[in-house]
Amino acid sequence: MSRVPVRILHVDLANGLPDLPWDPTAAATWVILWWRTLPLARLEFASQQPPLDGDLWRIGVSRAIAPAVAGWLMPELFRSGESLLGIREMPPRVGLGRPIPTSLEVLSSALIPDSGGSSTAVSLVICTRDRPDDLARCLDSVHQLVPRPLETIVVDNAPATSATRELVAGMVNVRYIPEPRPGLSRARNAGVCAARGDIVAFTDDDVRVTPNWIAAVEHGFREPTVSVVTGLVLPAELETESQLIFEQGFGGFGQGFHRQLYGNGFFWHTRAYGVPVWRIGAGASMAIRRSAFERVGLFDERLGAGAAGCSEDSELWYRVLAEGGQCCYDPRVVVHHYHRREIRGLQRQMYLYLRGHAAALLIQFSQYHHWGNLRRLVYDIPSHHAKLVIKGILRRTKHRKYLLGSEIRGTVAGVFYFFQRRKDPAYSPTGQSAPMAKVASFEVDEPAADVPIGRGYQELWLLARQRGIPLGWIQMPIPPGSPVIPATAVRARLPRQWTSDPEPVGNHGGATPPISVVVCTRDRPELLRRFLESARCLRYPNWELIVVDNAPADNAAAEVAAQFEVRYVKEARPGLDWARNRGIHEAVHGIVAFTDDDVQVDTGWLTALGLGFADPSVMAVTGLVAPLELDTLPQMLFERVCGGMGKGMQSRLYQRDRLRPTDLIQTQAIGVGANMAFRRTVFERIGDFDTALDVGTPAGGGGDLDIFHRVLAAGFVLRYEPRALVWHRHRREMSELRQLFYNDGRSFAVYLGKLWRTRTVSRLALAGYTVWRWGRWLVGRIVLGLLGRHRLPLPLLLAGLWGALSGPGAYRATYRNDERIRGAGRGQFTSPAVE
Amino acid sequence: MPMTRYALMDLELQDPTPVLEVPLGYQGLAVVFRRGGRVVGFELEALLPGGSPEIRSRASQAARRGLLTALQEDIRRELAPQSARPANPSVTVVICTHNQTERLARCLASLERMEQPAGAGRPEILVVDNAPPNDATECLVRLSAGVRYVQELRQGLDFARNRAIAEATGEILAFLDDDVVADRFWYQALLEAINQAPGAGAVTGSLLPFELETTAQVLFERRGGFRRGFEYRCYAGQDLPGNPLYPCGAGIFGTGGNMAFRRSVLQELGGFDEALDTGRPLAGGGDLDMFYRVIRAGHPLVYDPSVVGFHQHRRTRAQLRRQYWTWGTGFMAYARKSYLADPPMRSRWRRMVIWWFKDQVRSLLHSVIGRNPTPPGMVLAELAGGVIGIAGEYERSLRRVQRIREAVS
Repeated sequence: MSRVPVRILHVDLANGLPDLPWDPTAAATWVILWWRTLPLARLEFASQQPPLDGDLWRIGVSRAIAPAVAGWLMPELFRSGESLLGIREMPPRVGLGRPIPTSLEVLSSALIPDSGGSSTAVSLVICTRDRPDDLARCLDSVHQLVPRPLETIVVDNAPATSATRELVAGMVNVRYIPEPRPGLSRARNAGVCAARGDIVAFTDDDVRVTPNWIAAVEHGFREPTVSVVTGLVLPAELETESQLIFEQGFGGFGQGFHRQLYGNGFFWHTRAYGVPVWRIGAGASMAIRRSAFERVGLFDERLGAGAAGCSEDSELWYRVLAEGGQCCYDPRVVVHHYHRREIRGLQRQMYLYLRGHAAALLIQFSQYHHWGNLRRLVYDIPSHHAKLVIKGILRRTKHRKYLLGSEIRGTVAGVFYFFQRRKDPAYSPTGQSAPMAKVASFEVDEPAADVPIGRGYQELWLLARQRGIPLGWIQMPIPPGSPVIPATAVRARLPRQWTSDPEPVGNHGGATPPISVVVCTRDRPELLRRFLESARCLRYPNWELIVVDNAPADNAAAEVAAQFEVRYVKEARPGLDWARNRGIHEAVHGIVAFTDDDVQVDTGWLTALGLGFADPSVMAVTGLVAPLELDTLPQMLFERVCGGMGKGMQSRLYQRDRLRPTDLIQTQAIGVGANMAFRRTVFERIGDFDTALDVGTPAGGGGDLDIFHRVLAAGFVLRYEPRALVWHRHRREMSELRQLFYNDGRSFAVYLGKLWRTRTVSRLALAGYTVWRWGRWLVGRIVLGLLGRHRLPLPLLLAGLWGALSGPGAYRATYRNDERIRGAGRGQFTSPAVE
Repeated sequence: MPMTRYALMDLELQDPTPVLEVPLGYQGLAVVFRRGGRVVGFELEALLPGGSPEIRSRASQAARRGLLTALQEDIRRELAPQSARPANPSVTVVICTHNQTERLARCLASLERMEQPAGAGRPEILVVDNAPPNDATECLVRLSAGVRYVQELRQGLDFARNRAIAEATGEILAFLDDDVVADRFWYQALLEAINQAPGAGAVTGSLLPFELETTAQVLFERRGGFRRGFEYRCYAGQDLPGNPLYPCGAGIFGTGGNMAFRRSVLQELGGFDEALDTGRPLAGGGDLDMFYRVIRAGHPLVYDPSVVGFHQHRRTRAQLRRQYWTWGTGFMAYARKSYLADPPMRSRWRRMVIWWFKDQVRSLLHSVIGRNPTPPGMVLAELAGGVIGIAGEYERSLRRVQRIREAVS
């Protein structure tokens, strides 16, 4: 069966037919026959065959290329279904009369005409993900394109390293666009939105394009009715069994050597059986007119690599065809594709293909109610697989054996995938980073300024402020396509009481006690950089900034800190509260403000904190945390459904004797660790942060709840001051949000366990709260979720419950861990104090 | 039972507007597609009662296929190295005949009308009269100019063929049966095929129906007749990828009614096996045996579909049944002989025989349920012939042939 390696030989017949060179080291030879840049056919020769003598070789070649030659030279005879023969009353319309071309030289009329220079219409988009070597090879071939594309855009999809950025940075004429959300469709959509050309051509990073690729793409779009052009994908190498199986057993990506036009006829003819859109081509070599995107929308982000698996390209073609567009397969649009080398990779790929295919069929069905898609899914594919299973048992077809299981699992998984994601939006109207809502602040007292809107936002969230004091949120829809929201439109929506005279600023104005700001970070240099940039704009006379780097993996954070010339301290013991404690000890001022690296501070933050501490009885201040952005669905869910991190626009004072035990327990209603400040003296009275808690320990959080609780339990006054404003970047990904839910449940359980031990509230109240309030809330929302009545997706809710259930175990683990760190502490974790 | 007749017509593809006319009184249509006179395709189509609108599109498809093979042929020629025009070899056309004067006259007449390729002489024509019961054949040949006449008294086609090998003067021996009419371009195509493949030991051509006037003839042609497709093929070496029975299934190489060999190859192989093709009761297999031995001796064999003859099939069903019987016995006798004579190929031969019987049983079943146009009786005849053939017929034939040799000498 599969014999490797296979030698691939390109033969240009314009130079005459050379003898087939004999290479015994290769198990087989594949000959690809060309007439200059026109691919004509592929021939396979096994090496166990004796070397072909001239006659056999010529017979093989002529037989192989004759169909393609006929297709190019006599398209009216071979492409049309017209009858070539007449009857007496009705002579044929298509005459056979002209002589059959007798020389291959005539094929030159089918070549793509040369046009040098640079294309004015085609933008080239290459989506990549952590494959800099492949990408370098691809870009190498892109640089040899004649004509060049209008622009080359590299979309870096959810990169783990900066290798791609660095690779592209050195290149002229290549634009780099990061797309943090994983998924090929998203990356492609980002590319579409960034592209300027009328035609967006796509290729992949594991591909080598042929020099006239752009010319061929442009040529394919000469007919104005054509919306999509796809092309021939040839194997670049066949060195491993996996590559050969892919190319042989599954036909690879190649769709033959004939130009095909797929339009209405094709679509309606095959609709009842599920339109075989995958026949149109492959995403590794395709181009789409921008107007087609405007008509049928962007790539479906539920499909494609990184999501369901694949079929994002064919699903788009399906929409193009269903809306009456035309797709053109032109074999002159050639790329060479490097198939997966490992068989494991191939198995995974097959699984993903079938998963994507099944999901795409369901999506196509749900969109157009074309029953053929369902027929294919529930009848054709299963019966095909059943046949293969039987055949595999009878004939032991090897390559199928290890892939068939993956295929069947993939099909089933595709159905489940669809039902999980069917409510998700197919794509965001803009593509890039799918912003949901634009967040901005609006100064009520200042003269009218229009609010600029980026592309594609659906909603505007405005934090209305009066001389820096937050008044409240204004939410308004954005009319599609409007670049700015005029100030008058905003003003019209302001509640009357906000525009009235401001309340007099309190009599503490002007108090500016010195503050030490402690920001704790761990391996997020990019976020830290943004924080530090925002901290530069703080307007406060007397403060210091300490970056505490918690158990860093490298010294990226140190480098960032060095650029901003701030104090940098490394805390080797892992745990956010270790870092905070370190900050307390490093701080020189009487007030210590804590924040995280994923926030950006408002310019008046410290001023407001200072005002908060103007009352000498206030020992701790916590402030408003507003969303920095609401670009993604998880961010939107977190802010709108879970209430985010903000605790309202009203300043409040908390004091033990005014609180019920319940309020004393649920300190999460009071404030957030991302924005809190304490007088240093309070730590001398109640002790430092509990190092067994919060991020970086098995507890996974809860350090802020604990410290608020202890401050209040000790009888001190805590103030919520909304004027102390920071902007927090919520979790962008659903997976991150799910982790957050899990951690919240878990850490809250650990926190409750600690309260049980320390008895700072009565155990009766604690038990009552735990079971009656918290437990009921956790379970109740899952019931709602199961009934489909909860606005949060069920996986999030389950993650919360699961976290809570894991709490007791986490409690034991985290305190044992803490003891270990403390015991080992001095020896193992000492680090130079300041670097 | 009403007689089934198919109209046989020529269609010139270079005609600007080829028109397909379906004459009345025919149940079907057989179209020979020509391009510039040369045959490039053939299509057999039953007509539905009351005319069939399908016929034009089906015929168009066939015309497309014909055009494609023509184009393929052009490309093959263009890709061939432009060497100096090789000297045309001398050719002897051998017609072995036995008491079939009328047919022989028709065959000779077709050779008379043959297009002469430029730069090639007329072929030598040699009629081998096999065990003539009277002098009718001799008289006929004596009247035709430029035809040599040889008598072979020992009855048996392969005796006659071997006699031709001894008598002929040409480098190439082209055998035509007396019930075959050569196409106008037969000689030209044959010379081209030989010149293009100078190393080939044998060149075979295709046989199309001469007429389809009786049910038996239509049945025979619908089963595939003597057609082997319209693609030029070259067989060389001892293996053919995708065909595990190669070269035992020698039917793919061609038919004995229209074949040509290099005389040196025939001499090297010791001529035809006289125990095969003896007429009743073993009237076949000699051509297959020769193709097989040519390939086994390492000589390439070329099948060139443009070397066309037209064969008059058996007119009555009884004759046709008899022919199928002959095929069965002939093939199996040839199998038996090769199995004994060629030990390295024995495993292939065993598989070949198993396959053959399986295939016969399958076509019998298909015939019974109506998926095979051949009546079950005829399939059974071939199957029974096969059984007889494998059950010692070759050995019996060897003894019979020995007696003939002794009797005549």
